[in-house]
Amino acid sequence: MVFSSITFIFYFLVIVISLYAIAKGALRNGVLLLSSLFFYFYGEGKMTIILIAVLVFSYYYARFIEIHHQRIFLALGLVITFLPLVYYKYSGFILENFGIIYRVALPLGISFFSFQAASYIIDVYRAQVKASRSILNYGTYLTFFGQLVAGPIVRYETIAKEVERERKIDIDECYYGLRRFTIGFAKKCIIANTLGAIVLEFEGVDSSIIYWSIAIFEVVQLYFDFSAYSDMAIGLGLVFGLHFLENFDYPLYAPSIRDFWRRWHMSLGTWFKDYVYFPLGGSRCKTSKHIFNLLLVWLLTGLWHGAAYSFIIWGLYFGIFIILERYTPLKKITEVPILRNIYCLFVVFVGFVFFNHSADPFGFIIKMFTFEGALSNEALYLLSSYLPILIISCILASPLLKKIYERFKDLKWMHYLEALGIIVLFIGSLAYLVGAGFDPFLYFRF
Amino acid sequence: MYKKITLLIVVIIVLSMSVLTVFSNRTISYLERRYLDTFPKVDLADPDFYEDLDDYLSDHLFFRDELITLRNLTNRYLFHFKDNDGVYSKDGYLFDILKFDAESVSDLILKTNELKDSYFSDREVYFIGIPRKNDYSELYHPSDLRFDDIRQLLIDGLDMPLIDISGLLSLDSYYHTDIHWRQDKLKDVARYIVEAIGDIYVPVTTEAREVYPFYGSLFSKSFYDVNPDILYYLEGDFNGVRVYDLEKDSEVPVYDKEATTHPDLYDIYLDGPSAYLRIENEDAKIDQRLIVFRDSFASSLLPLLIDSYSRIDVIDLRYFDASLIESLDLDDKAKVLFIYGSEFIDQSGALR
Repeated sequence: MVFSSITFIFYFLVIVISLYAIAKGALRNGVLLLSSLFFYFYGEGKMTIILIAVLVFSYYYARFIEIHHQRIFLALGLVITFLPLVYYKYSGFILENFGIIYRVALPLGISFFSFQAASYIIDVYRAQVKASRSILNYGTYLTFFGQLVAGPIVRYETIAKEVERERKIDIDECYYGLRRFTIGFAKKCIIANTLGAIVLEFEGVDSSIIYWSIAIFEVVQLYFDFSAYSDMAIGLGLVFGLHFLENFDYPLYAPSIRDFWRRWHMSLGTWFKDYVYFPLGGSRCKTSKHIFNLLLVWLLTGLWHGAAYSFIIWGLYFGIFIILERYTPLKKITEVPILRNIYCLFVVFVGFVFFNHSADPFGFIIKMFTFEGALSNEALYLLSSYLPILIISCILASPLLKKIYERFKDLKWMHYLEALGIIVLFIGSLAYLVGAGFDPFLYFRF
Repeated sequence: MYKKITLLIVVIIVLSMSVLTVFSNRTISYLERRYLDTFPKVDLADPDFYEDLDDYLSDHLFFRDELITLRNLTNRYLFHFKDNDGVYSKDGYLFDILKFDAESVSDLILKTNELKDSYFSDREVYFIGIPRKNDYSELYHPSDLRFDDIRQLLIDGLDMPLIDISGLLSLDSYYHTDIHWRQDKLKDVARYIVEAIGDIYVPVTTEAREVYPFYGSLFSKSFYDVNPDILYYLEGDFNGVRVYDLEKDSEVPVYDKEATTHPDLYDIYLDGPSAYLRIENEDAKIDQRLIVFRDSFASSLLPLLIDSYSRIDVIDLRYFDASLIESLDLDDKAKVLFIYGSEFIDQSGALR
């Protein structure tokens, strides 16, 4: 089931919120756990067993490792936790290198819940959190439908206190949850899906300016799509009394690649930083070791996003730019206003070609730079038709609206404008949901 | 306070729409010209059930038509799209954008020639390509298909004469909201075709009838700056006419008046899409016979040929497998006419 569906909004959510409101005490987590498992079963069927297996294993193993505090047990626990992920996501890729074709369907969101389970085991091992004494509470954390299939990757310590105690329904929190969910709903249905449909229209037009447009539109689409899911997850969390950390922070306006990745899918960056980069020594080591650490982290980041060489190249590409920004004069560019934004966007747009066109990324990039048919009549028609939505999207992707809101948020008229905005956005999103008939789900490979 | 009011309004919207959707008894969307999904067979273990349930609920969502309208208007007035899902309006007409696909045209030519060689090598065979209404309007999208793109390919590739009717049509020969031509504008076209293939044209005595509103296939993607059409059909004396539908194994009317309840009003002509029809006119004054391979454009044209032919065999190769032609009891002396709209010629993948 996806958030942007009639079934989810008009039925699943209505029933779950009603049951949650009726239930008291520990039953509330019971409602969330069961509804989350149903949410997963609705789309994934028997694959739900994988989710349950990871849940049960990580719950009991964390309790085990809390007592048997040994590194070898940690390693063993992580190997077992990641086993389903490695099998379902990477076995085909690994075997392909030996000339064996092997395909297996990837359970939805397996990268997200595997990483959450792993972080929980590590955190318990490090004694950063105590192992949960209730599988109901832990299950609520690991499987919460709000962030199960598209993140953010939530660490147990972030919401441990909330899942372990009785939560009350707070009207203010529900309002903020609704506001955040609606913003995400609109970003997904009105902007991301529309940009995705435009990209389809661009395809087949042999013009370098259209190849550039595809590269740009796809990044903006991915930002709106991915951040929309995070917005909806954060909003849903608020409704149920769970506070997740932010996952995006206006990445398209980052002044450097390093900063871009501090603002894009922040929960994944934090995961790799805390569980891979710092344990390797981070930056407090020799330059050569630091470069190795960075390349390893970015290789893994690439692999997390997809089991293909293009994703490895994609990860290393960004890793190399981060190294260059740190150790070469490229750093100076990141200090010049506007120029640094142009540089960053340029690197991002080109880099994401490896992500979005994994079949032949180099062929696509060559088309971008050959400037053939750049200003063909068809290219001009398409650009003149779709430039306004790109401009609107870029404004919405900037912190501008937030700054304006922050300035006027305490004024009474702003409250009513905000309320009206929520209702209009909600109805507008519904219009695009039923009217467009195009609702891609981009996270099937995560 | 505003928080509570907002929550309350959204809850009311969600609850009322979810309840009204459950009790929706709509079966047809006239705006989208299609039957809505029926409730899927309940099988909780079957993943397809959930997918079908999503589609069903989306189809039956209360205010669905209004929401589609809202989306189209937002695309126009907020995002300033020049076309909406490939549909644009100009001079009071709706047009769809179609890109020239030479491969598809060549494929159709190949298959048509094969059919002629296989079954009709000793007959007179003719081909008609029907221009789109876009051909009678200024070029809007630079890559939009023009009949000129396919005309020369047809002339060069077909092993049969091409009858060019483009000079007999104009923009007002077509509906405003649909891709099809208007039957009341086709009398000259009918005469020209019959005479071009060397037969004698007997005009049908007709009386124009109107059905309103007719939401053409482009209407649901429009920016609603064009009004729905009036559908015209030319009623005649068809008492001696029998139209046999092979799929239904029964007779169907020349004009199906009950089609006014169909999602696609264009089904009124010869009962809509059909693999094979045999039209026999016992009152025909001349014993001329014709075999027609066609798409939907011919549905409105053929009633105007009824008095000119004692028998017309009508085959739609989108629904009828060409390898089974021999199984049909076709007239062995009839002339053969292929008549297709440019849309089909350019997108001939459905040819079987």
